[in-house]
Amino acid sequence: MRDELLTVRCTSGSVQTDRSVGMGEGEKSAVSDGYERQLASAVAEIEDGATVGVGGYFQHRHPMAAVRELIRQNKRDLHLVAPLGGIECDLLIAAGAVRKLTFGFVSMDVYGQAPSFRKAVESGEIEVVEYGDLALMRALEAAERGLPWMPSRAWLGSDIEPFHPGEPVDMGNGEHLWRTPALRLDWAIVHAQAATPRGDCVLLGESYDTVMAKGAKHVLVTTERIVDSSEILEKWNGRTAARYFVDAVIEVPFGAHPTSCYPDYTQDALHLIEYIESASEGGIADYLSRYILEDEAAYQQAIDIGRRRDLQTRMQLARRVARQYR
Amino acid sequence: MSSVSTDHDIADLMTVVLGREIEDRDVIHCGAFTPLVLCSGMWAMAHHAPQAVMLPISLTAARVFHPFPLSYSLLEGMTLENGVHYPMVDIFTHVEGVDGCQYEPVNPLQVDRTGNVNLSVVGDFAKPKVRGPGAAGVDVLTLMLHDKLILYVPRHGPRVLVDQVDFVTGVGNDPARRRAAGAATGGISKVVTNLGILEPGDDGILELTQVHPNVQIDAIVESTGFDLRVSDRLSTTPGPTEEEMAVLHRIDPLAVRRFEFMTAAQRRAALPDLLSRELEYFHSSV
Repeated sequence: MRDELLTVRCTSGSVQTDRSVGMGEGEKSAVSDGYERQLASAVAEIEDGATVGVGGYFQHRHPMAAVRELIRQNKRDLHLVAPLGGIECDLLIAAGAVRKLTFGFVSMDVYGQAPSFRKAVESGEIEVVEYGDLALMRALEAAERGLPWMPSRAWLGSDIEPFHPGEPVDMGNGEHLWRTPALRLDWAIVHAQAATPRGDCVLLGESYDTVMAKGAKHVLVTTERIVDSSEILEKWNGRTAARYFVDAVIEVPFGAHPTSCYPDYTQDALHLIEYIESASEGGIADYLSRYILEDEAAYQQAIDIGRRRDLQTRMQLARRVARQYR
Repeated sequence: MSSVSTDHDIADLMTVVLGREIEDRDVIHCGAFTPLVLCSGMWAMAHHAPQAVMLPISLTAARVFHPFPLSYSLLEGMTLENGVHYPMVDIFTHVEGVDGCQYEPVNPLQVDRTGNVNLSVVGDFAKPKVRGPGAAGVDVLTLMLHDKLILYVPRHGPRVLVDQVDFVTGVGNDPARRRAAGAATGGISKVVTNLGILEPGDDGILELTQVHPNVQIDAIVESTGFDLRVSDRLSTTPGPTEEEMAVLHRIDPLAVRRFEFMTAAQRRAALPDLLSRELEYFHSSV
């Protein structure tokens, strides 16, 4: 797929969005007739049973548009890798897309415990591999570097050994280290603040995104805006997280909603409350049909314009206030 | 010295007690949804540790050098606008490497008499009775931090402070267990609860070293799921002073720290009001 890079700019008609904040105007030269179809064809490349790492963390900058598309396409038996999981992980589990979950932490934090994650694990419906955050980082770094394993000071003295890849190794000086085998992803999916058509990404407040992308066989990038490399050089001092080639770059404004995407919008607390209450009280089918099953344009239309403005206003206000405390 | 404040609650006391642990030039970590920890760190930076560095991992991957007031919806933006972007991979390399991290309070699912921490499961691992959120950094922090890995417990009770944890996610202070595991460094330094403070004795067993003001020792012993030893150096926790409270009100004017003491349902019910109050508060501050 890398020979025919798929880059899609959003056409403004299909999405209501206030583009006056953040890094400035994205280019609007449309190269397609809307991103929904392109997002669908990029996600169609992800096969049932694939090992998929999803970027972002907690309720921040998850590639939610792509997650919703995975659900729409009724993907099954995924091995989901969620280092610091939130709604993206809970939603994929709720929709029945996940057979095996590799994770460091899964929570809906202020909103409560992740309801579908808990239910699926406690009933034995999905297989789990619990990592610590450091061991998972090292496992992904080993894949990135093409190494069979990496050492880390993880898990020593715990009860994890029968349930976790790798094992402690005696260093001969009274100290042990954990041998962490490489974890190779079939796909990494990340949502970037900005990306060039080639897939160089601006990723601010970065968790595992780059490490996952570098070690994965395939990479799908969604982004708030596609920009030229010259803009990356001028505005961001050339600071990008990249690998040389990615499979697809698709511009999806508000593509992280209901999670946040600094510097454009905060997380949508009221939507996250609605989700967790649906998922905890047997209403997940209603949530899925109300927001997800139709298409991404319908999702974006379902999010009230006033709500969008509020999320943008809060982010702008946060940025203004913060400057007083530097 | 400023006199003890007569107007404070347990959220104020625990924030200040945690924050007093922070020294200047400490590296502070805040894990997932831990408003009390975040508040204690910002408070310490504003109060007595101006050169401390905070890594508010719960909000984003950044280093923060200057304290600012807490909120819920503005926090991530304020952190990234005010801090230095710092990818998680670098944070973890520092945790494991020489700079380490001096201060990270963790809220455990269970902690036992030797300080073993459980964030994983109650019951069978593959099909548990209760599935916890997961290790996050705890398996590593118990091996890394040399001075201040603190457990904090907003609701001290026998189901949290247990005789033996159902699952050891992070190893505690039992010297034999640590030696057998080749765990050369680390351990739990304190358990701060809403009733008092427990610290490991020489044998690694947690004992009661402080009671909070107006709390009876018997009540703490009864609320603990193991036979709690009372230290011969037992003292009463000094309450927050007027001066400490003044800084706390500046750092957390909307009392986000109190969310730590609510159930999830209570937090969801309280959030819409907080969201509108914080918009109002910060609009008037610019």
